[in-house]
Amino acid sequence: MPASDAELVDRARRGDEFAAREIVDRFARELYRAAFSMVGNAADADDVLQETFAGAFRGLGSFEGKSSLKTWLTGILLRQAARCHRSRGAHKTVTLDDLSEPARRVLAGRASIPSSEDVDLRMDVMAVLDTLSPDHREIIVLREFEGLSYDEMAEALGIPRGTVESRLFRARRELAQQLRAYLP
Amino acid sequence: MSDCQYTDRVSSYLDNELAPDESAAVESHLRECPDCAREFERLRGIRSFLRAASLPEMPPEVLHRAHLQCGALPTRSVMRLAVRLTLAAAAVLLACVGWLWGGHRSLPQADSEPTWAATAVAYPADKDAEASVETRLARWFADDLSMESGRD
Repeated sequence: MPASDAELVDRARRGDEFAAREIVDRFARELYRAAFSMVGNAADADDVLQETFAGAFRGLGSFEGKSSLKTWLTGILLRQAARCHRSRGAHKTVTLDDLSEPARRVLAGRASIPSSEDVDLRMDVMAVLDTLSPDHREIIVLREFEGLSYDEMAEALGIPRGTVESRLFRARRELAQQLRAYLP
Repeated sequence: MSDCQYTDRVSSYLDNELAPDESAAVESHLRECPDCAREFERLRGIRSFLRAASLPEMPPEVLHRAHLQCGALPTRSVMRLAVRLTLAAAAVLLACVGWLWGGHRSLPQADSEPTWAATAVAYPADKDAEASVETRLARWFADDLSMESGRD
């Protein structure tokens, strides 16, 4: 029977290295994908992930168990990703170039994409995310890539649930505006 | 974009985050409102587009580096020791400041009378040999007068 998140945290607090490794193994993959979605490249995603775990292990004492461990780690990751964005400089307005054919087919509601076109599609998705404001990008990543519920997003972002709803609504509108040429 | 009063609920409906009665109301509305139905399809298309992107898998070396951090866990006992040492150092610092402050207050004030002025011995009255003629004459008269008053 695998240990619960709470048990792992408790053991890690007492210096159990194996418990800490288990936490990494459980969440690193998802967190890396979220980091990649947030920052758009592998090198920064690596840095963000390492800083997330470093911060988490330093601050294990502050984890109260009110949210899930995943949500708590995601909150740390978002702060690290924001720091990465700030270190890069101010957010620039990005103009979306022409999307690839696979992307257009998906947006038009047509058949699924062959795996050979994955790379093109991924680049298009990253390009689209890059056009969003940091707040909107953050919430889209949490919902569409991390699959967090509204309550979990509220916890991770430290904002009320109502703000999550309205921010997600506006983020989707911004996305729709960027993709209007390709939407039916 | 639709400006219908239900428009802002379509996003939450897509996420299955509405209460059951609200969800039923939006579902019914979508059957009647072409604008909101179009909005719903747009949001579904955007979601499919975002989720269709296969994000890269985490490279093994990234996982390895994350594992290395597990060997540097600060344990509770180490944290408690660190807190105690910090408090002890703060107490020593405060004690030193207090001692220096107390010593500073016992030093003589800068504007008080200099020591030499308080302890200098007054120069003895000028001796007759050094006194002027007028002074010696005045003393002779004073001495003589005091002697005559004593004879009466």
